[in-house]
Amino acid sequence: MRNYELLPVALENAPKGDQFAPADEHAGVWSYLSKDPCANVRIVGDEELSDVAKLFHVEHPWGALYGKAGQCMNLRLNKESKVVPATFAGIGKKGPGTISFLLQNAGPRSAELLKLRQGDSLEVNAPIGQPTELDGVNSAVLLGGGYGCATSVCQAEALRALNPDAHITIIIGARTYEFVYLENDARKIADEVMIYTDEGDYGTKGRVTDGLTKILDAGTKVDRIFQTGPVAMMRAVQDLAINKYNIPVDTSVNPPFECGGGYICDSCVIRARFYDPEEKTYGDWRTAFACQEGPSILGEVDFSYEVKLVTEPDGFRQVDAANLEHRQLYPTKETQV
Amino acid sequence: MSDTIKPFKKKFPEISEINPAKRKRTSPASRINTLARFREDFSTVQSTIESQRCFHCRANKGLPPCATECPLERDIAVMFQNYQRGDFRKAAEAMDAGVGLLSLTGDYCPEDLCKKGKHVGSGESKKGAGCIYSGPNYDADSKNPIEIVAISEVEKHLGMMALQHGWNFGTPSPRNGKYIAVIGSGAAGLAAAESFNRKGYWVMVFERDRVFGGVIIYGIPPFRRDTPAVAMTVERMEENGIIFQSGVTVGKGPTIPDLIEGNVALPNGMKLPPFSAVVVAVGAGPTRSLGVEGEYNTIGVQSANRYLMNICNGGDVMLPAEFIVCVIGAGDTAIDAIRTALRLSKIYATLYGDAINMRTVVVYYRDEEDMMADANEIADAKEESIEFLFRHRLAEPAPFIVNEKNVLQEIVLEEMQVLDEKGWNGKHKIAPYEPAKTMTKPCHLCLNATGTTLNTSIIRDTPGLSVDENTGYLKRMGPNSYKVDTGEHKLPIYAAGDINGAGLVVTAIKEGRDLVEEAHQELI
Repeated sequence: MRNYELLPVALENAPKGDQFAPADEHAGVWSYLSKDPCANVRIVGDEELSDVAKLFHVEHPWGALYGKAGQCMNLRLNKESKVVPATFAGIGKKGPGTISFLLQNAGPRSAELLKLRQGDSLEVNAPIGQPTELDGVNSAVLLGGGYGCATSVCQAEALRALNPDAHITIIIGARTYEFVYLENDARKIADEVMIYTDEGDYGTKGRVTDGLTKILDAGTKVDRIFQTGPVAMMRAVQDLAINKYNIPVDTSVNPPFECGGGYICDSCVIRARFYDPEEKTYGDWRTAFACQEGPSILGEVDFSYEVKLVTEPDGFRQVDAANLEHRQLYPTKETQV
Repeated sequence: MSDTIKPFKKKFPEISEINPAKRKRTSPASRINTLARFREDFSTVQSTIESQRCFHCRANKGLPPCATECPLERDIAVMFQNYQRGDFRKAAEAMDAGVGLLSLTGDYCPEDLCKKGKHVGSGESKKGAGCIYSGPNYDADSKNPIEIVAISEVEKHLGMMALQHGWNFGTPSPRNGKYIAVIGSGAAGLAAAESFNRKGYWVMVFERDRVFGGVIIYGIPPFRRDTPAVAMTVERMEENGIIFQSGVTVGKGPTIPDLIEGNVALPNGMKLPPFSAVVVAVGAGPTRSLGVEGEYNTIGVQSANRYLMNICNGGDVMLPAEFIVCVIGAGDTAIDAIRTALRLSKIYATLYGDAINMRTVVVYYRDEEDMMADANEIADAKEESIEFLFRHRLAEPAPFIVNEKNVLQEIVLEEMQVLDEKGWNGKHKIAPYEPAKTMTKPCHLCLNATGTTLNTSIIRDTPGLSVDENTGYLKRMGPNSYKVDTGEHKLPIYAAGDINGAGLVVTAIKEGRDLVEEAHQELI
């Protein structure tokens, strides 16, 4: 429908020299940022953790400067592809200005991204959300289910940096040995690491809740529980922690962050009652934007909201919008209708 | 030579014969099969014919009547004068208005502003305003009504011409060594950045998304927007020395006081300059809550903004199979969302060979005359067989009837009576019936387009910012001032765009431009 061609034509009277870049002491930073360093970030390292998961390290100066444990990011291959949320798995691990994230194959979106290797580039929008609140925690249990343990390890590192004397226990849960990620990193940072697998081929056979019960029944004082993982696990842990042992729990919810923290979409709306660590009381149940007050939420989360966000409902067709627009605006011979 | 040259029957052909004033448009039946733009831009020939119809008439104040309601106060007659002479560059310069966002205003201005002289906000025409062809002699019912001069079409044509030929009206003045940070790259942000740059400031624009353009890109569906034009405008601004940073959320990342004090150091050791002023152009906040049960946890109830955003930002769009889509509200967002839903169903059917028999209904609690959307868009929507249900709203407290899987099946609507009396916003007041008249309608996707609320995240993240209790928006130094009241902090913060109240693209551009005048007085 467009009846003009957009040809690159030089701009007349474009500023040059002093008019284009400052000549003062800020000239360096100005020319560095004029390239928009976070528009297309370069992968500086990728570690294959299993057949379906990779740990990526990317150059992202703004994310490394302001990112903190517990915050998340939006990944995208290019402008035409869809957004995949991920949480911080480390900051500055591969030199200053780098951030890390763990990606597991959970569908066509992430499969596309997992094909990337060192030297490739992708779009990363980081950081999104609030960092995990770690003040005043002296003894913590961090539970990571599946690829959620990347978040747990990152939180543990942040807690160790904040409070070197803290007693940190990390419980990793996975289906089989293949899906136990970042065990070495966890052992480096934590005082104690427990591993549970569903099949029992590595660590102890069982679930992460077994480990949590074991610790709490032994009478160990635990200030706070941090958890990241599948909805079923988080629901069980939250139930156990709040109703049985009355310990505040910090849950990293994983809804789709479609707009990336700008209030535009309601995709990340959750319902929760927040815990006030100073008053030691729970607030009222209310809806909240996970991109603004989460994704790690200290308090009790209503997982019926979470389920709505992650399941594909019957009677609906999920239409791949990005693909549709692309096909419609730039039809190829095969798709031309 | 069997063909003989036919002589002209009349000395001068009728205007209606030669005038292709209406944009070429695809028929409704075929345009709903695609998300692509369906209005063709004017060609040079069309624009020339159009410009020759202009009388360059002047009203008392000196401005032509078409320009009296233009928020940017541009002299439209000068544009047509120059266009007639063939001086396209001067014509574009006349419409530049100090911001140079011609292609945006040409596309997104409601045409009623200049063509019919309607006020922004209330839908009433000002006496003596608008194109002279729309004046008292204008008779839309006559056989050959004289078409109003296609102002915005020619403007858009000139805007694209300026981009393609590299005309530069934004060459910066000699640099004054001061730095400005603009938060948000929407219409207001771009206008502020461009105006500051022209005054000789160094401007850095922070955008939290990957794509520049803000709500123009993700709030307006592809069949109404011109993505390459926005991208090209940004490119031109970069060539003039403005720096764009994508993926930086000010507040979550650097805070506004950090930027002003120059406390931001990058991981590689480089330090950002201290910014003399910060422009907050972050746009509107979340969609207004419906205030009913099951708003956020029912499958099939969504915000219309999210629906539209997913089209552009790469997400999954919910599309009910063979059922009814209802949009609550009657603003531009509502009309855009419903037309998008209609198109998606047709595209899905074509691509996957799976027919969807979908009905699309707009539910609004007032009458047709109070609808906020652009009249042309409403007319287009009606052509596309969009249905309208007036005088109805969602029944409180629980309008959503779901099945056992929590999927929306039906909605309960309550009939309203529209009173003759008008409220503060120039719209009719409404009242519920006693007892309430309710009805149940099958509905499988309900989109909430009731409007947006204040964006509170930047207020929460910045000390000193507060909400004005009278207006409900960001507290400013005065009604005509764009400077934000930061109390004892006394920070040089200016606000423009939707954060001062939702408005049009063109009013956002006006605010972005005008705040620079105010800021320049204080900074220089």
